[in-house]
Amino acid sequence: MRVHLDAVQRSYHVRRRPETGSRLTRLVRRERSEVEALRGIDLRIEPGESVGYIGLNGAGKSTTMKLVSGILAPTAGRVTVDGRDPHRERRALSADLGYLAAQRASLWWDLPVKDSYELIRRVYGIEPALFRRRREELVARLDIGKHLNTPVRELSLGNRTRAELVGTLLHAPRLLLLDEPTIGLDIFAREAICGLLKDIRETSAPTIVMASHDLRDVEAVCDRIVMIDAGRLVHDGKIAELRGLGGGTRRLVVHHAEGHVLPSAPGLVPVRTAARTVTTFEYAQGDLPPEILSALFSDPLVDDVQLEAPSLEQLIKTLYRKAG
Amino acid sequence: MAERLTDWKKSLDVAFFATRMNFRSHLVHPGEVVLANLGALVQAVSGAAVFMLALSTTGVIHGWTLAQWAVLTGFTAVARALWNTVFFGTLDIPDMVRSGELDHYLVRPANPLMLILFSKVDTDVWIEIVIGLTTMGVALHVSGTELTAQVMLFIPVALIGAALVFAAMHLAVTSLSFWLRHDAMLSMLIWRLDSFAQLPMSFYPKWVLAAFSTVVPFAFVGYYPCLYILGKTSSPLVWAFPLAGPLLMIPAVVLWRRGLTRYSSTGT
Repeated sequence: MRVHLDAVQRSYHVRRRPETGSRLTRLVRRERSEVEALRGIDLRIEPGESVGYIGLNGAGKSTTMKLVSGILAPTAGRVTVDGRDPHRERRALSADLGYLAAQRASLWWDLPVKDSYELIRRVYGIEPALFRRRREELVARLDIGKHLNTPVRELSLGNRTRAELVGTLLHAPRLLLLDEPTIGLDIFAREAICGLLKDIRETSAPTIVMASHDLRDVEAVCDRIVMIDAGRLVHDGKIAELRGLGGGTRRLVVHHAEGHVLPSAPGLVPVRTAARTVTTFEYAQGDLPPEILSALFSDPLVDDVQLEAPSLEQLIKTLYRKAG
Repeated sequence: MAERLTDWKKSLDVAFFATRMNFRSHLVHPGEVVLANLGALVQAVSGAAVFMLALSTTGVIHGWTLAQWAVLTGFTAVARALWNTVFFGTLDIPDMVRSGELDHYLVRPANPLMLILFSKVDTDVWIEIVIGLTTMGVALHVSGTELTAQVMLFIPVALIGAALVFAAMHLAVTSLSFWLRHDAMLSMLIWRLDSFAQLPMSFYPKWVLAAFSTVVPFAFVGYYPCLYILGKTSSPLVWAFPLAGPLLMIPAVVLWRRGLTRYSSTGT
């Protein structure tokens, strides 16, 4: 599904206790103020794209998800999904929407998982044979077969999120909005979820928007990153392009004997570190003289040599610093 | 039209299934169900016992004998229990609005209000229905009320109408939570006020009756229908009283829909 956001703004009204005034005034009076969650977002997501939507806490990620899902209406600007207003046509569009907010249960809390799935089947009008086939595939893939008869409230966070994801995918949504789907999960649960999403992306190509703090997950599932900061878009591009934004700086990390003096070369800038047996240099990509590397590898007092590209996290930190 | 019919059919299918699942989920903890039912039984029986005792006296207050008052009490108790059976989930709306839990009802291709209604059922209301009907039956007999065919037809229709009056008022008040972030006290006030519905309105000054017929229309729950059941009025207009429930549901649902447009879905 095609998702367009044009100059979208969204603000919330909040009421706070006044900081000044008598005790009675502070007890009774509330001051009304406006918080701007989104300050003019323009975004185009084409059918079949998978977009990692990243930002710090309070940046506006969840608000964007809620606007696209139709839960909220924008204060200004326009949101469309396949050319339709998701807030006005929420019920019609929700048949093709899969929305997962991992910190909130969408399955029925007191019902066993399989009953929740049956309820979903009826709500979405999924044909029983197709439903059974999809359920079996997804349950096997996320390994939650032994929890189908357990009430949702009795599941661990990891199993609950797996169960929630199955519930989100049962009707084969064409637009998948995932708000922090792996938050608080262990490595196995995260791998299982990201692996499944990656497969779904390759087989049925739904449009995926995944808000996450965890860049490893975003990198595993998405090929485009949209960064948001304080309600504004600060970057939008392919992950490969983001890597190019690092300015081509690389690191050379050398583990050696204490007090050992390493050879130097032009363009190799030492980075101050506290460790006496590790020396780090920065250099521009392509500027590392090959003779330095051969000298290091043949040096008996050098234990290890590592060449490091900046991590996605470092690149994103750099972008945030530039933005603000 | 055909699309709307399919939509209704699907809603009913979901509603029946959700209700069945809810009963099943309650039965996962049979101890809790027994205790809840026991509590409801003690409360209902003690209330009924006071009336049964009072029925032995023949005093008349403001034109109402105690037996007639008991008819009103039984009728209101059944209407309230019927409301509880279907509309119990609406009481959670303020919490859902505050916590943002409402989100997941809004991203489904079904009427969110229907999903809320049938996601929660009260399992101990059947005791209130049985005790209420028994109280009403005994009191009708003791009061010497003539149970004509019209009255027998009127009672179930009026009970459904009365349950809808309760539903409309509670839905309207809980929908205010979209505007007032702390409307729990208002819900509690309405909850407490509905005990006034069990009293003959002739007990009150005229302005209170006017308030209970307009602002907080509890008079339509039991008082007006019971005037007809007990033969205190023969006006054909009484047949319009059960319409108060469906009519009041219209502004309540409009308020709920308006509220949804103001929903701000806090947090992640």
